Amino acid sequence: MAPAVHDHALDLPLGVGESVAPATLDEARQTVLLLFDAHRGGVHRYVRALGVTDRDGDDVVQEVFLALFDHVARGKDRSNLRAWIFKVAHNLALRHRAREARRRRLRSLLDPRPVFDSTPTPEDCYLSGQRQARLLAVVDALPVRDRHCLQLRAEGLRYREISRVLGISLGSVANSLARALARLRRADER
Amino acid sequence: MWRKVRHVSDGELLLLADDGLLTPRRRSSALAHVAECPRCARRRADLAAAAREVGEACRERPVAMAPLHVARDRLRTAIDMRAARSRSQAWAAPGLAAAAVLLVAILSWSGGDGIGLEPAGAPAPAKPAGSASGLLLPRPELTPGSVRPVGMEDICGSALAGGPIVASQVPRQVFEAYGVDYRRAGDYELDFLITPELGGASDASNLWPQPYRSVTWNAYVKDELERHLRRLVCQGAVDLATAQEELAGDWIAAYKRRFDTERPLRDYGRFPLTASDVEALQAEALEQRLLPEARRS
Repeated sequence: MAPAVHDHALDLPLGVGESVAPATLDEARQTVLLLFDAHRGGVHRYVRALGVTDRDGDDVVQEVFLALFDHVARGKDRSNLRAWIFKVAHNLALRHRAREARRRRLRSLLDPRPVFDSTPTPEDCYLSGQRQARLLAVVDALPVRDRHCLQLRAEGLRYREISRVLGISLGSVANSLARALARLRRADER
Repeated sequence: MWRKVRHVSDGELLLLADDGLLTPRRRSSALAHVAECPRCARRRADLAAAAREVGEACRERPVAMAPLHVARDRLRTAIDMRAARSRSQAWAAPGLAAAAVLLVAILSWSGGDGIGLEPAGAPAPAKPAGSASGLLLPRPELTPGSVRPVGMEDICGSALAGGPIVASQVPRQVFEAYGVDYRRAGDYELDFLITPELGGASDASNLWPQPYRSVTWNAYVKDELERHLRRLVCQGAVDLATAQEELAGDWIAAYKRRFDTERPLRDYGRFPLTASDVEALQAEALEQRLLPEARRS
């Protein structure tokens, strides 16, 4: 079972908006590797929920943490690096997906050869519990924003962090989650 | 007198989880209501249970990731490369601004790729010995390319079985011919112009030093083209002579054409090889005696 993510485990002890001196490159590297170990799985799951294939997930995740290295090394705001990481992951995943879609369209125009199928294999989709599989099927069918909120909450982000990552109000986050959970409960009752 | 009871919405029930999400007044009235209303209390418990369950399901969904140590090594290498670049930029910044401007001008003039691309047939300009610039494409007068007699079975059978072995004195000869310090050979792949997997010979006329780093179109990118061409030859989509000609000519143009792209499909500066990739490549190079003695230990 994947370890639960603790809400407060990775907030560095700096005040909101506090600017800090640039870290030395070694310090920045150490911080990034620490955060990578703790968050890599969650970020990977999140970018996949945004439509990045497993094949590309490792590259996108690496890009996120390289950006984090630049961020920390330049002494930018470290008040909530977890939310920062997920926000950058969100942006990079969407950019990646758009680029892939463009590339696929271009290829299909220029070259009728089949391209690699990027959908998950049956092995990827294998789940031990039927109930869990049913739940995830409902999750996958949720509206995009509701699904993103749910996935971020599942990764242990707090409401304010989700609001920051997605750039929406706290009320919208709560409504999205409430809607998603209500739909899941209804599906469960059937 | 009858009073309409205002139940707490699902959204508000969720926002009770953390302090500061509702106004203090609304939070205290919502908490007071939930304490007295069994229906809202049950909804709150149900929401929490559903959130827990779906959270677990999402976290346990199988994800195909590289093993942690591999991904970590790869990230560390990428960070180190970026840090090295930062350090060199910091070093270059104060005194060498004018030189940097000149360099940018030269690179822009040469194609804007950060490298001095030359057409395969162009005469090589004079360069300082050991400079990586200008070694992106082999010099035809030094490396015209040569092949050995092979059949389809040699090409499409087990990889590299029976491939050519480079004579021990050849690597040094090639580096010296190209004016590269042999002690820095580890920064280069002594590359076959026509890969042995497509019938390339092992003599100096088919070898040239190709830098691993600092350029977009490096040895790793050429390897992608070689693997692709081999697949096409074995599928019968391209004949062997055509594949050999593409490699012996302008391989960058061939890459762009074959992959429908203006840039390498993978940015090795940004996503460098893993430690195990490097080990595998070194082992392959050692097997073919492409690394100098100093690199073999």
